[in-house]
Amino acid sequence: MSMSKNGYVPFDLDISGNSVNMLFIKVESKFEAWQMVTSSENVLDFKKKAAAFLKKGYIPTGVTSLSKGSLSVLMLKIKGLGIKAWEIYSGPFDERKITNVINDYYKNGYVPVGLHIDGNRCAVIFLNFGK
Amino acid sequence: MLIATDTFAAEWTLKRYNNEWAKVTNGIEKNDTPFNLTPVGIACTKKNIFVLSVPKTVFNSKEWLFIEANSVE
Repeated sequence: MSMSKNGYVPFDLDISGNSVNMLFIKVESKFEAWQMVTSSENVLDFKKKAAAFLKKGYIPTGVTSLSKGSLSVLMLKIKGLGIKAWEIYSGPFDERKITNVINDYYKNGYVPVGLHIDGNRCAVIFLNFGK
Repeated sequence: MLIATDTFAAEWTLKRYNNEWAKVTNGIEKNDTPFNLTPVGIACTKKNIFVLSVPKTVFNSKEWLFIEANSVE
C-alpha cells in the first residue's frame, strides 16, 4: 500500500508462474481500499460474489487468474469514482474477435479496463460511468 | 505492435509487445502518451505483453508505472 501514499493505485495485475506484474496509475482522488474477489470463470458466479463490494462502492478494475478455470478481480474503492454499470467478458482469445468485442462495448458506453489473457482464453472488464 | 484499435478515433488501443518491460514502457511513451492515452490493462503470456489503453481523461490519470516482481521460494 506504500505506493498509494504517492497517489498511485494498483489498477491491473498479472500473476503467472513465479512472477507478479502490476500496473499502477496515478489518480487525484483518494484511494481508500482494495479487495481481490475470486470465482470460477462463470461470469454470473463472479457477479454474485462481487455484488457485496459493489454496494460498498468498490469498482472492478483488474483481472487475472490464480489457478486454471478461475478468475480473480481486483476491486478498488476510490473516493468520488463511481460507476453506473459494469460487465466482464470471458471467452476465447482471438485478436480480431476481442477487437470487435471491445468496440461493441465501447459503442454502448463501456470503457475497457482490466485485461487477462491465458493461452486461448481471455477476460476483459468494462465500466460504464453513465456519461 | 498495434494489434487493435477502435474504428472511430483511437479512443482505445490494444497493443502486443515482446515480453520485455523496457520495450513496453518505450512503446507506451511513443504510441499512447502523445495521443493522450494511458494504460489501464495488462496481460502477460509466455511470448508477449498486451497493453490496453484508454483516454487519460477517463480516470484523470497522467502518470502510470509497471512493477514486476518475482516471488522467492
